[in-house]
Amino acid sequence: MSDLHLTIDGQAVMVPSGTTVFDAARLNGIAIPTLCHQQNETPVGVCRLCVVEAGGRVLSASCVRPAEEGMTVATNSDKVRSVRRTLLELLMADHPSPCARQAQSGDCELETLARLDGLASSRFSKRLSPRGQDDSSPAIAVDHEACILCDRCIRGCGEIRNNFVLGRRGKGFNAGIAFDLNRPMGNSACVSCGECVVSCPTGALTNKFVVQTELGGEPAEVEDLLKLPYFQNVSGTFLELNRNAVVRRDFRAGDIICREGEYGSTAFYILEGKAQVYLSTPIAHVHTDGSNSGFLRRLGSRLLGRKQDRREDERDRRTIPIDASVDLPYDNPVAELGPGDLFGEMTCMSLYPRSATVRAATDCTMYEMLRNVLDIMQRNKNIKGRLDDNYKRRALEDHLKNVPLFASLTPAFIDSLRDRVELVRFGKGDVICRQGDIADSFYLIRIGFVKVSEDHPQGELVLNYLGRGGYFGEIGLLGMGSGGRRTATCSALDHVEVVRIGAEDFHRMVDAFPDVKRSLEAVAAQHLEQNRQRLARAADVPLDAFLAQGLMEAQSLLVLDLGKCTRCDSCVRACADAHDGVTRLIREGLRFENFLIATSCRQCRDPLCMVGCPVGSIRRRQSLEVIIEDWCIGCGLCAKNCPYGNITLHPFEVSVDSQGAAGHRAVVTKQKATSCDLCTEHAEPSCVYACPHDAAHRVDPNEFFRSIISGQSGVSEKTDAH
Amino acid sequence: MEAIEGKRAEPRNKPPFPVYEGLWGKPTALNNVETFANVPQLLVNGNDWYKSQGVNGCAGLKFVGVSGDVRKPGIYLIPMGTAMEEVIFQHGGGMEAGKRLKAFAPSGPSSGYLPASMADVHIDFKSLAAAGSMMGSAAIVVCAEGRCMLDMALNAVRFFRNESCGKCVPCRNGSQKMTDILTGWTQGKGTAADITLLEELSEAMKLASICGLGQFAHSPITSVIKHFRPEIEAHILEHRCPEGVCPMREIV
Repeated sequence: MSDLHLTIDGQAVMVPSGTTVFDAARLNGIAIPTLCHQQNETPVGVCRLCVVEAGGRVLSASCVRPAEEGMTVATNSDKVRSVRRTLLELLMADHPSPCARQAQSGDCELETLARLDGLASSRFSKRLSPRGQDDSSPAIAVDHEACILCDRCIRGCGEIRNNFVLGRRGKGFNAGIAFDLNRPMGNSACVSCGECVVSCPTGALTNKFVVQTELGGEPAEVEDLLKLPYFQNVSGTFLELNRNAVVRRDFRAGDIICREGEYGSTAFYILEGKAQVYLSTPIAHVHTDGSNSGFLRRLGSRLLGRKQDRREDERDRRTIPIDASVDLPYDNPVAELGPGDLFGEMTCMSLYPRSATVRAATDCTMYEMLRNVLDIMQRNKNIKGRLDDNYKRRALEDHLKNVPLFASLTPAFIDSLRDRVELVRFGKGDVICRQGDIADSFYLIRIGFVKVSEDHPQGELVLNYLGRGGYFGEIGLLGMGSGGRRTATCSALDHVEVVRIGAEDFHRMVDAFPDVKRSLEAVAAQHLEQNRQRLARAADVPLDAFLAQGLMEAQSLLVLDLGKCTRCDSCVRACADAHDGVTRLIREGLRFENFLIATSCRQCRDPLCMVGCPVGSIRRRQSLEVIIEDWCIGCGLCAKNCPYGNITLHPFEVSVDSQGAAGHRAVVTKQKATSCDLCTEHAEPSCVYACPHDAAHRVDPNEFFRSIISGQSGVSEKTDAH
Repeated sequence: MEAIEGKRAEPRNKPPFPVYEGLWGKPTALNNVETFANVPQLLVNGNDWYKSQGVNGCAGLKFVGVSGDVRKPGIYLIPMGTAMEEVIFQHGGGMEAGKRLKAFAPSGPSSGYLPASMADVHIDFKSLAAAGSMMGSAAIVVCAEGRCMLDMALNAVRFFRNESCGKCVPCRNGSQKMTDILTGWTQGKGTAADITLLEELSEAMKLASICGLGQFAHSPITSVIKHFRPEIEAHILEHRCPEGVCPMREIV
């Protein structure tokens, strides 16, 4: 390789042929300002700040201009300085100064160069249509406003990391960086390696710092983390930036690591030792009995399991879904977790209450991590592969067989599925399948909540919320909808992971197991029929859509005739008396003409109470009324979510194993969620019985609304009888 | 070439030029259709015949496109060196009755607008360069009286803004800011300082853009400022459009 001789700013220099003018200057101590060029990336010459005079008609971008024999270069002439300043002024016109990077660490490269050039403000007008921010990634903040399209992130993502997620979108002044085909970053194929953050010269891509109280325990050393198989290939720089978001914690045998029902924001990864996961809340529901035929006898509430008190439409699943890779058996809700297990994913990703209590069975070492680190782990191809593999080997079989419909699948068949199923992640709001699309897969939910809804001209109607263990997609595949198309839209309500079973495997399954097919078809036919009826009824009755959808569905309603009601609250007191002092009746609610609909649960169009239950114990009966299953852990999320205050928590004193002292029992208070049961055990609800003004009535909704519409009094002595 | 390689349609940094390193890194000849259109004549009639076709001391033939305020717009094959006024008034048929020539762009707006007084310029490389313009594709744009030259320049600058690929800063941001400034002028929001700012911006775009689009995007307005300064100053300083074309108020 021959040497080249050139003159840069009057200085004679010699460089090997193939050297760029930028490098020739750099090697000889002449710094040329640049924004788009970095030593570790192929130069692209797009910011044009590094332009120099090299004898041409126009200036040359020194980062891409090869040095030539005899060349005379000026890097700092008046002409060059003037052009550079104008370019900085152009960029600063639209720069949100101080940008996130400048605010965090004071080293935004654009703002630094502008300051060095004495540029206080830009004379150019500001961009009129903002390019916006993208907050969808838990680990990386994207501010398109601060992006100068230097392409450093694109090269970092592609040529350095070989991920090829980042690119450009749009053209001209509307150009911007894009993830995949312009998806939100959090929903893209981005693996959160952090290379783009490290590459970005401005605050367009910054590391998100999680605002929270300090995690207890030692911050994990990046070197230690990188030794773990789960953290291999994760960018060390990125782990360093998120240093306080993952801590190493040591637990002694017997220590409680987390408690069911508590709020949290972290997930745990077990390094060493074994942990026991269990439910300390009794597996039972609230049962009120007694009689209100006489004032002397009080009603009482007790906790009964389904073996003692079988309720209509109660599920008979044998396991309780929790926020870990295992499910708990209904009869003995205890399981063991060991090294390599990850638990608390849902709490961490979607901030739901803990679904179970975890206690160190032996001395344990764990990494406790926040959402951004968990997200990095799950996005890393290597880690995701391991986690998925772990799931397929250990949990898939249980998970499938715990859905009663699939109980008859043979181990051999499940074995044949292991390497064919795919675990797919969806971000909040993502559509998993859309009404009208061709059905190509069947889905089983592993984590998160999925909303099933139908599109109607009047808007969206939520048919159901599905949680862990729920499945969807069978109606289209069975061809029961409309010619192999999706009959409803299923979308992710939060961080969702589903097991995707392709059409081919699904058909293989229903062909091999005719009883699975029959049950699937029966359930699907029932759903379709219910949806059809509901729509027909809604269309039939000229009521407000909400009332039509909500109240009409109820089996019976409690209505207060406001013409007669004196607001004496006897009904509320009677309800409390009937339920151990916990009232389930709140004399507030929807008003319809002169009636207050004070009934328990409205069977909402969009039953928010069902979203987020960490153990999936609240759901709709076929009748659409809410049922709370025995494994409610009393966390109170459903009560908090219900906009009408119709779910209350009923406290019970129960005897549990005293912590730390084996064999000793202690009495603690546990809660169970309840909603109005309409005192179905009794001839008349206690509130109706107690009303001294004949204002409270229990009515059949169909009759009630029809009579109102036809102009008659909605409540007569006759409709009272139930 | 980038598009053929499956990439975004963006210009490459030069050098290397395509004849050395072009498509897939191989030497590549890129020619205009006009160049190919000359080949049959050269093959049939020979080099000497072709050279002898020029007038006014020039050699060869030239395809010109005449558009704008002329009665016979179209594409004409003329001897190299023909006077611009001959093309506009004879081939192009001149202006509508009663209107006089105001300005013309010898090669689309990127060659800049020249005033009617320069219509005697010869259409050849040297003469047009000497007039501060260029021969280029010879897509001649003709403006008759009644046209506002600021409006014409804004139209052209806005076109370049729309066509910018967005790869480099001077063109991507510069063409937008230039459009903003000129739009302000047509809305009566100009200030005296704008002309200096526009000149600095033009210089940066001309010298630092990667490709011709950004380098020449300023030509329509810089040429109009040079040759029609009083008309432009009326917009900026007096907030008045002499031809009554510009709105001179904000359009919502």
